[in-house]
Amino acid sequence: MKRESIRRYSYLQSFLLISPYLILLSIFYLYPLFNLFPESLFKDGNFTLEHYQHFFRIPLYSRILFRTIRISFMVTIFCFLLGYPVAYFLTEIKSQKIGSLFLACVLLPFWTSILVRTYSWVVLLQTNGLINNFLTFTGLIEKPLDLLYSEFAVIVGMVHVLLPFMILPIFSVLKNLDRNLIRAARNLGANYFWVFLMVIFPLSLPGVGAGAMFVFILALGFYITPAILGGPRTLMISTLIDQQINRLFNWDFAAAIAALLLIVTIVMIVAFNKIVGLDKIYSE
Amino acid sequence: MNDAVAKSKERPSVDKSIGVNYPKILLGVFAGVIFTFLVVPSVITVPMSFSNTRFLVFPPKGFTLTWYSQFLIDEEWVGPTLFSLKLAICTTLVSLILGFMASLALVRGSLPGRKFLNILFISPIMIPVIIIAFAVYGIYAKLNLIGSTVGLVLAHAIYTTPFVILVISANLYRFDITLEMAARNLGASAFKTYLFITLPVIKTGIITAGIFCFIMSFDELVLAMFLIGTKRLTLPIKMFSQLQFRIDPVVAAASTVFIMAAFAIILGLGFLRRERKAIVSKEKGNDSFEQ
Amino acid sequence: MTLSSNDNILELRSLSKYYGDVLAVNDISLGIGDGEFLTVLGPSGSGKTTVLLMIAGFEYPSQGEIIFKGKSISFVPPDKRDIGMVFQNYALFPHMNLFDNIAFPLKMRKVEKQEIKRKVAEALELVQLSGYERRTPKQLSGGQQQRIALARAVVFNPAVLLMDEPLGALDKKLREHMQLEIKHIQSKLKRTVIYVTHDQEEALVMSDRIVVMNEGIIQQVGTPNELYEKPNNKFVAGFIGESNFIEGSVVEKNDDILTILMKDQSKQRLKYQGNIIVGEVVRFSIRPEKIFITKEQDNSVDFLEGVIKEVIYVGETTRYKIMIGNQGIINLKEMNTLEGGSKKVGEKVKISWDKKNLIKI
Repeated sequence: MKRESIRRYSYLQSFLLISPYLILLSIFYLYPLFNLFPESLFKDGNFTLEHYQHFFRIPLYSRILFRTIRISFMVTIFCFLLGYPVAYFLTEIKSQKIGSLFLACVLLPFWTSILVRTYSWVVLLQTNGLINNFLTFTGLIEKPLDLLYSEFAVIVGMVHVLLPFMILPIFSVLKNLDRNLIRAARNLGANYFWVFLMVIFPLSLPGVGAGAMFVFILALGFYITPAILGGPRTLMISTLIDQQINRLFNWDFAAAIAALLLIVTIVMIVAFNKIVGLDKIYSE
Repeated sequence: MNDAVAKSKERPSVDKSIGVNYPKILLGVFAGVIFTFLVVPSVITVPMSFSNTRFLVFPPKGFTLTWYSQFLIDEEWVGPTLFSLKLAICTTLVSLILGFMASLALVRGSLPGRKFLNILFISPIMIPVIIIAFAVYGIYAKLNLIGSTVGLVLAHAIYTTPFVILVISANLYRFDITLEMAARNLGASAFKTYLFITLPVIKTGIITAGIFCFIMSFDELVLAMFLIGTKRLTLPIKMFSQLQFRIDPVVAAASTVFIMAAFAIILGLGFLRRERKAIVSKEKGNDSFEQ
Repeated sequence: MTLSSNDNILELRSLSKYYGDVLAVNDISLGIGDGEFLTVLGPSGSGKTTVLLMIAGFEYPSQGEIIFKGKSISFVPPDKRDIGMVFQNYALFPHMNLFDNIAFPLKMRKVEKQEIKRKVAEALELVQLSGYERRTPKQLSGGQQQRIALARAVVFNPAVLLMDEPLGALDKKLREHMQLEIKHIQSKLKRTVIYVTHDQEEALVMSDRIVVMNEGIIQQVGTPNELYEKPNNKFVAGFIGESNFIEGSVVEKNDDILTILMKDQSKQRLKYQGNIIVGEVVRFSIRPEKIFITKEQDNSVDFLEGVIKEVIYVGETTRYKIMIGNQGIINLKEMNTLEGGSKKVGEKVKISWDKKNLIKI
C-alpha cells in the first residue's frame, strides 16, 4: 500500500483511527437523538401530530419556551457585560504570577462541581442566607427578600456557571492580538478610547461571538441550575421535559418537546457557526 | 541582553497614555468583584461543612466534624462515592483513548468532511444533556442496559470525549512535526516515535484532558439519573436528592472533600512542573556560556 | 550531468513529485559521489526541499527512483534508511536533555550503554560542546542548538547527511562561522553531505558541486567555479552572483569586436571571444566586478561609453550604475583600493572588460 507521505495519514488509517468514536457516537448518540422524532409522532400507537399541536396550543408551554429563550438571552448579555472587562483585565496584568492566579480563579469553576456551586447559591440566596443577612444588617432593606426560586436566582446561578465560557474565548483572542496594530493606531493619532473602539473591540469580536454562542446554546438546555434555583414557578424547557418524564410519565409528549428543543439547538449551532466559525475554537 | 528582550516579550499589556490610570483602577476593582463572584460560591461550602447546625447556614455556627465522619463512614455516602470514582476512572480511560485517536485523525488524517466531523464531535457538549439522557434512555431500555456500568461509562464517554478532542487537537495542532520526522530519521519506528516523542511532549495536554474528563464524569448528574436504574446511586445523585428533600450539611462535607481533592491534584501538578524547572535552572546557573 | 557512475553513493533517477496537480519536482536525475559536499541551490518553491524530503523518506516519489548504495530505497520508511538529517528548526526533542537527544539514534539501534556514552562524548567534542550533556535544548542559543542537531545526525555514522537550510535562523556573522565549521567537520569525517539552501554565497563557500534548481527542474550542475564563470542560462547567471545582461542582434563582426543592435536602437560595440554569426540574436552576461572603468583616453573601440547614474558606497566596494545608450543600465563593482577616489554621478566614463569574461548564454 503506497502512501504519499508519512506526515499525513492515509484514508484507511484515518478511518481506522476515527471509527471507534464514530461508531460509539452513531449507536449511542445519533441514533437515539434521531429516534426522538418517530417517538414523538405517536400516541397510543397511532401516528399523530397531536403532541406538537398540544405544545403550541397551550399557552403555558409557549410561555415556558419564551421564558427559556428570554433567560438565555439575558444570561448571554450579562455574561458579555461582566465577562469582557474581566477578559480585558486579564490581558493587562504584567506580572505572570498574578496573571496565572487570576486565570486560575476563572478556571476554578471548571474544577469544582456544578452541583456544589449551584447549591451554594441556594445558601447564599435563601431567606436567612448571606445576602439577605447582609442587606438587612446594613439596613438597606427591612424584610428579607424573596430571592430564591425565581427567575432572578436562575439568572444569577447561570451567569455564575457560564461566565468562564464567555471570558476564555475573549481572553484568548485579546491575548493574541498583534500589539503593533495598537501601536500603529496610536502613532497615527488615535487616543486610547478610539483605539479601543476601532481596533481592539472589532478585532475581539470573533472571541465574543464564540463566547456568546457557547453561553446562549448552553443556557438554552441547562437543567441543573434551573432545577435547583428555579423552583416550580420558573419552569424552563429542560425542567419541563424532566417533569413530563419523571412525574407525569408523558413519554411521547416529552419526546416531542425534546425534539423541538433539539431542532432549535441545531439551528442555533448552524447559524452561529456560519457567523462565527467553530474552527476558531481550536485556537484555544 | 537576552533578559531585556525576554522581559519585553513577557509583558502582555497594551500601551497606555501617561498619567494616573483611573480606567485601569476601575477595571481592576470591577474584575476583583467578578472574581469574588466566581470564587465565593465554590468555596463557601468549606466553612459550612464545619457548622454545628442541622441546617445549612452561612456564616457557620460552631465547629464539628460529624458531617465528615458521616460522609466517610456511612454506607449511604461511601457507596455512591466509590461508584462515582469507579465510573469516572473508566470513563476517563475510554475517553482518552477514543479522543486521542480521533484527534490524530482530525489533525493529521485525510478525512473527507472534516468540518462536519468537527461540529459533530463538539455537539454532545452543546446539545442539552436532558435531551441526550432522555433519548439514550429509550435505547438503553430496549437494549437492557439500564443500570449497567458499561452503559453508563459509554454514555459518559460521549459526554466527555468532545472535551478531550478539543484539548488534544489543540496540542497536536501546535505540535512541531519536525520532531517526529527527526525521530523517524534517527531510526525510530512509527510506534516508538509516538511513545518516546509525541506523547511526552503533549503530556500536559493529555493530563489536562484526563483531569477534566474525570471531574466531568464524577460530577455528572443528568445522564446518571436517567440511566442508572434503581439499584445504585452516584454521588451527584445522592447530593441532588439531599438538596431536594433534606438539606443536610453532609452535602457540604462531601463537596468540600471534592474541592480539596481537585485542589490537591492541581497543586500536585504545579509542584511537579516547578520541581523540573528548579533542576533545570540550577544547572543553567553553573556554567557560563561560550559562543 | 553525471549519472550512473558506480562510484556514486546516491543516485536520483528521473525523480518527480506531484502535490495534487502541482508538479513540484520534475524529472530530476543526479548522481552524488561518496564524500562529496553537494549543495542543492534554488529559490523558495524550486523543489529543492522536496527532493531532500524524498531522499529522507518523508515523501514518496510520484515517479522515478532513489538508489542508495546500489539499492532502491524509494519507498523504504524513513526510519530504515540510515541517512542523517539536520532540520531547519533543529528539531531537538524538548523533553530530553542533550545527552538523550544525541543518544536517541544509538538507542534505536540498540547500541550498548558504555558505547553510547563514548559516542555521545565524541559527538559533543566534534561540535565543541563537550560537557553539555545535562543541558536541555531550551537553555542553548540558536548556534549551539544547531551544533547539537548536527552532532545528533552524525553520531550513528550515516553514510549520507542531509541538511535543510540549517543556518537560516542565524545572524550573518554566526552563519559565516558555521559554514566553515560544517565544512571542516565534513572533511574531517569524510561524510557525503547534501545541503539545501537558497543562499548562493553559502553554496559557493561550502560546496564541491552545486545543483541549481528552479521550478522543479535542474538548471545546471557544476563546481562553484564552473557555475560562476560559465553559467548555462539566464537563471543561473542571475541567481549566482550578480550579472549584467546584454541582449541584442549582431549586425557586424570584426575579429573579436561585435556591433550589437540593442533594444533601444542604440548600437554598441563589444569585445567577445567566441563563435558568432552576423544576424544572430544574442544574450551576453558579464559580472559587475569584471568590468572596469578605463583610464586611457585613446579611441580604441573596445569600450562602451556611458554616464554614471548612481554611486553606492558599500565599504569594501563601490558600485556604479552606468547608463549605456538610451536605457541600458550596467552595474559595475569596483574595489575601494587606495588609489584614486570614486567617480561622481553625471560623469561620463568608458567601461571595458577582458573579452574572456563576456559569456554567451
